[in-house]
Amino acid sequence: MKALGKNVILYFAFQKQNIKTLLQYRGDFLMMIVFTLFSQGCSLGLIYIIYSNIPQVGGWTMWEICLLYGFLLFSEGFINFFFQGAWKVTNMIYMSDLDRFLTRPVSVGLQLLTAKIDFEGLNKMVIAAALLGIGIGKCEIHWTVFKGICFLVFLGEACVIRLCMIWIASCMSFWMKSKSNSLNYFVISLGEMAKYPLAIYPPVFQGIFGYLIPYAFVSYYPVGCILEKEGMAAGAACTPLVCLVMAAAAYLVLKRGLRRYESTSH
Amino acid sequence: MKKYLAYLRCGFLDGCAYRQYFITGMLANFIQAVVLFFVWKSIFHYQEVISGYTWEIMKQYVFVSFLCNSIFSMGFEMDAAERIIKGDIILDLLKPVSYRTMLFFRMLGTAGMEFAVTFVLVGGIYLCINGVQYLDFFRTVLFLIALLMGMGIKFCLQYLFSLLCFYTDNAYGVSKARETLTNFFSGALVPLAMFPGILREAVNFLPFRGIVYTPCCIFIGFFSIRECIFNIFLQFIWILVLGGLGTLLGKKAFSVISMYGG
Repeated sequence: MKALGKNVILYFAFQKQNIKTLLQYRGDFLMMIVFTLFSQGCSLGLIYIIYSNIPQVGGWTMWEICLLYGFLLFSEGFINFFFQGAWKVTNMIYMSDLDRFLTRPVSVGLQLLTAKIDFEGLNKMVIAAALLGIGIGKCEIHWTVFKGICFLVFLGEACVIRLCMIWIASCMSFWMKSKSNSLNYFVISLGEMAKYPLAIYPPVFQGIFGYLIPYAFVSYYPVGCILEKEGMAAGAACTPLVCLVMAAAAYLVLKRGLRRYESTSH
Repeated sequence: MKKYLAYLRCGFLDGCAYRQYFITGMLANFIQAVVLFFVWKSIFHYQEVISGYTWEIMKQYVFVSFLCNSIFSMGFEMDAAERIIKGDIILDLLKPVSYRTMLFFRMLGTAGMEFAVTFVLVGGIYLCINGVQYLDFFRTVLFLIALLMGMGIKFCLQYLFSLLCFYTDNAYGVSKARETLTNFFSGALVPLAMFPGILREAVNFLPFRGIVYTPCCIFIGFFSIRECIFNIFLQFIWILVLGGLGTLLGKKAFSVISMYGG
């Protein structure tokens, strides 16, 4: 417990340093906000245009899709803002930056996770929160206290599952030993699939991109459960389990990977 | 001309050496195309015709638009920004070649490699799904011309956006913005005919439609031959306009850089 507290304090200390580095490029900050707003606007525009022609996709209405989108965008923003370091693992291994981390008496995982911060994430989280708000307002959901708690838990779990996905994909660099690793980019791109209900894809795709890479538990089951759609409860109940499995896998991959790590001498 | 051919070769080898970046980028686009394919499939399950499109047409549109969109789409903003920040850009500007023409040939070389890969992949999938029944020799030729013109427009846009990198460090943001803008307004995601009311009118006056929508419509047969030729002419006009704009703004942008040392 004490160790955990120490890590939390350290986490904030590291992030504080990261924020300082951002002040270097103040002008870009505004530009980034405009760009993010713009690109998210376009993605939402796509959904709007599709729905302006038809009433529903795979039995889901536009506002329900908004909730799916919100879950995905929120988890993406969460990673960008709090744990953007997950993206830098490849580069760190290649450049032997990891040596520096290994000499410190702090867990390597924590140092890697806090290697970078990206304010775009905050922006994304705000947009996602607004989307979720609008979506919830427009969908007729029978709220209970339990459901409210579930909603927040699901959102948290979506963030954890997605973080673990990227983390595992990034850590594959321990084995690949190349300058770049596109797996993590591939994994995040697959999020595109989770913006629409899983049921519209053929079974093979569902199996691979819904369960093997567990995107079904990021958005489809949680949102389906909150909207009280049929056959969602069982899937939603499995989310904590998936979450745990992913976290354990992420931990193992780092541990195994570090054992394999051999620095290129400088 | 010979010196530019050297750049063409250079770009081609570059593309082959760093194929991983291209493949990743294409894969991400491809995922999007696959997602849209299934979204449309489920939509047409309920409704047979949407804004004049049937599932038969849409099946072609998704893959042809993917082909148009993914070629020549890497952009060089990131590359340009790195050279500007490091100061290497001065070497490009000092050479007795035009900066833009040099970029163009480099891109063309890379695009050659990309085109081969994408063409085989998309062509294969297209034939698997649609068969040869819709292919028409004359239309295919017009399509290829329109595709080339579209690449010209794409290049002009990329050049304009890369000039922004003289003013900001956020090259990733710039290239992302260009990508989103092009994807959305070129018809790569949704056929422009499905855009609601006023927006549909507005996109007709933007250069983006020449990149994906025009070649696609020509290929699928939405345009009559006269319309085809008119649209290709329109693409040509846009290349001239955007090219002229590039020359003007380029002069301005080059005057901003100041280098230390060397």
